[in-house]
Amino acid sequence: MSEHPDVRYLRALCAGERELIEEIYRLHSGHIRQWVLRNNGDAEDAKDLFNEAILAIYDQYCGSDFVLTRSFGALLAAICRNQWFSQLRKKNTEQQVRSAEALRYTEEQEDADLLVLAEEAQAQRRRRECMERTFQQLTERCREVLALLDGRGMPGEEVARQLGISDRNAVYVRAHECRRRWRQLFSNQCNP
Amino acid sequence: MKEEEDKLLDDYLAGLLSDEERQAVETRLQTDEAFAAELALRREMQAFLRQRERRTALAADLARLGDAHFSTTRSEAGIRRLPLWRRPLMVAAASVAVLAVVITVLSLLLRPNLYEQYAQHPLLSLTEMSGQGPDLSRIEQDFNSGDYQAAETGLERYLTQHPEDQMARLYLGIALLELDRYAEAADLFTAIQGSGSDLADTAVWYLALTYVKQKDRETARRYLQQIPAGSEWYEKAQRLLARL
Repeated sequence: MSEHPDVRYLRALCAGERELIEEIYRLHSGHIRQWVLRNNGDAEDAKDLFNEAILAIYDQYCGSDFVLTRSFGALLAAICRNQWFSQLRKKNTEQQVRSAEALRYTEEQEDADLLVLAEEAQAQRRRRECMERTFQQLTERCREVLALLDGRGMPGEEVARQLGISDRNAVYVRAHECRRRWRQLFSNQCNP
Repeated sequence: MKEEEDKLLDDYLAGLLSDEERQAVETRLQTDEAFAAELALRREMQAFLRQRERRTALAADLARLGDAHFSTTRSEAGIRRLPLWRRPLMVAAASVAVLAVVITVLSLLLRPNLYEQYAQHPLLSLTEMSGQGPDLSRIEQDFNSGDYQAAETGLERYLTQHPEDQMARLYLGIALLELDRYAEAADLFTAIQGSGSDLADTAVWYLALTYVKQKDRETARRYLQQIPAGSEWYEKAQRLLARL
């Protein structure tokens, strides 16, 4: 299937281009807001949902070889719907969930592929949140070493100089211990 | 996973293995699923760290956009009728609000803002670290919120300690451009263009904007024409060329 012209919005999001990111808000915020208002939410819920859906798209697709074959708006709406139904299930009464589920069934019959994409994005979002949470559980020194060495790709010698560590070998040993600890935390807390 | 295997994978990703050791790891990855899954998790964590700073800046920007695009509708879920005695006050307040909107729209319509339409700068994301030297988070915040004077000061200070950071140099140029210090901005962009770095096309785009802002359309056009078809700036450059 060929790439949808809306791929420019996805690329803009990945590159942090404000002009087109703002266009995403201009084009789609009204529709999502109306949809949330019709489904037991308010404008504040709609804003949070919209922002989180954009971040979910960023987390799931930026840096991957994903090919966008549907409109950006359809993908965004599917992710918002999926996320909203999950939230309703957590916080609302049985009646609201039942009516939301009935609506979900009707809307999702229209496009099963989009539902799959939305669920994948939501799963990735949960995984990313857990990765952040476990990263925050590392010591401050560990976070500094990994942010410079792995995050910024800084050479070991430079990391040693900036953080006052004796030499690059000591940096690598420290980084290795930190990564190991992080993976343990992640495996214990984040795997389904 | 054994300690030595654990270290082996870390060293593999960091490029610290000899050719022979690297080849042995790659052969094992073909057949050992658990070993391959361990490597995939390490890659995911590394990618997470690489994206983390940029994502934090993006989330802050999205929050601002969300406020701007959803703010007028916040009270929709809880609309209440006002008592009669308060309505004249609301009418007066509404009139002031309408007047403010009219003034804003008129000022937008009257402003020759070709530069502003295209000067949508990518978010600055230097680092979240602020333990030593200048507070980099502060510089990011100043730049991303449009306080270019403060960002310029911070970036100048940062560059005295990290003169090799071309990205910071580019953003310093953008800050100078926003402050109408055209010659200094153009010097920085020209130096980046000539450095052969990955940012060369971006520097040419900003050179073009430097002249758009000064209403020198001919020079701007010449720079825009230098941006090659494969560049990430090509589409924008073509759109701007069509308007010059």
